[in-house]
Amino acid sequence: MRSPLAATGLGLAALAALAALGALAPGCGPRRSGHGTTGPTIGPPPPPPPGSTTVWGPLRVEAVDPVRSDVGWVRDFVRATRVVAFDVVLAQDRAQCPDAVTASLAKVDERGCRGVDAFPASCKVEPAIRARVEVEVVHAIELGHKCAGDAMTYVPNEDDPRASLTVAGRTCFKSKNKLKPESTWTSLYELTELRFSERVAAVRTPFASALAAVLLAHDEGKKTYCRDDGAYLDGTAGAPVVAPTTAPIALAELLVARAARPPLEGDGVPLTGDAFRSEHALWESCNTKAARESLVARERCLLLRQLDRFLRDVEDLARPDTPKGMAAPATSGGAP
Amino acid sequence: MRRIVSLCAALAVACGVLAASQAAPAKVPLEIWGLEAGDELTIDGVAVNVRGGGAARAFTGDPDATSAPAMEEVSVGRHELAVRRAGCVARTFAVTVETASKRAVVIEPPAKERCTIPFAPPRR
Repeated sequence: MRSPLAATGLGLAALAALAALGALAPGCGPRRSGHGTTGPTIGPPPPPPPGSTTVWGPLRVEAVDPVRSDVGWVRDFVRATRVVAFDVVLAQDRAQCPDAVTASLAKVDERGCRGVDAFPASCKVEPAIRARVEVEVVHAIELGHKCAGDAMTYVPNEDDPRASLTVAGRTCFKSKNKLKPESTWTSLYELTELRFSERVAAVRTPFASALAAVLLAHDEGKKTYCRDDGAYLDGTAGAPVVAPTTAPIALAELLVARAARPPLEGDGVPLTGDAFRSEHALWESCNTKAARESLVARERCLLLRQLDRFLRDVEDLARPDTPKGMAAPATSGGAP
Repeated sequence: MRRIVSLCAALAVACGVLAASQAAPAKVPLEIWGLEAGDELTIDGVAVNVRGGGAARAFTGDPDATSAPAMEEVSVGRHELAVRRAGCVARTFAVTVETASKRAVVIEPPAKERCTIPFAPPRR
């Protein structure tokens, strides 16, 4: 029989050999492909003829497309995020105008970029420049847990919420069923009450200020000619670079309102706002036709269903007649 | 004496290996939905198999679902994904996995008339 030490030595040798093989075989690395389309590129403006200057029109939003979302826990069963990404298609006109026209019509935006709102006939206008900018909207989802009939919510451990929620769930199940015959025990998913809330926590985009200016100040007649980095849409520098700004939360609502494929926000399933509802009732709300047809509800319901499985496991632990319950250490108190 | 020292050293190595294997971060399922036949996906630069053909695999919000068009077990942390779709500009994005529970990504159908528009170029 091989000794543990010998086995460890062999394992180490095998690991070393694998590492060496990896170093010697660069061809076995990541597979790359040129399948994707690189698409058209946005070039700098052509040099203007003598006596003319290149000028840019105001930035405008042509379309907002939701492109993806992702959902998952930040702290299991306590905090989660749902991140929705949008493509904002920005457009900007570019023209070569006589210097005299530029001098008389050019304006300066808040960033210091010069632009012309409407090009006169004496300008040679190019086809509009179009470029996409990605915006991520981060929704923070918070769950509060409590035992039915109790006033106090659980206080999950920050480092290991599963462990503390397991203890709290078992205690709830045992205390609420303590004096009942087993045939009338109430399930933990009915005894667990949840507060399921969601809010926009952040909006992430490299051009937060420009997008906000274009979308928020749309009705105020203010024009924006440059992106946050002081460049026009084609990348040409128009003003000094300033420190990046944080995108206003209100930008999220404007994007949803302009999105090409509504509805994005579903019907609120299974959110509870500030109120508590039983996990069972929320689970049932996820099984409606409306919830199944809404991507946002399906994403939130994924979290709820993961939590539902966890609660069933905790209940198994709390029931002494289940394999998990029989394997669990005996507890004091004589509760079921 | 030398044999005892070498034995201790070997034990230390063995314990270190065992400890390292136990401390290794768990792999977490990262599901990617909404991909279509012919789409290409890489996670941290490594190509991931995209299941094609058959019935469309729509995201249902079921924690048991194992029919995602792409699924990869990843470590906890930030990962770079790249999706290449025929006729569209390739795009990259990051997903952060923060617990041992799976994370699901749903890719929306491309807006064919706009997915060829380039991303804004850097300042020059």
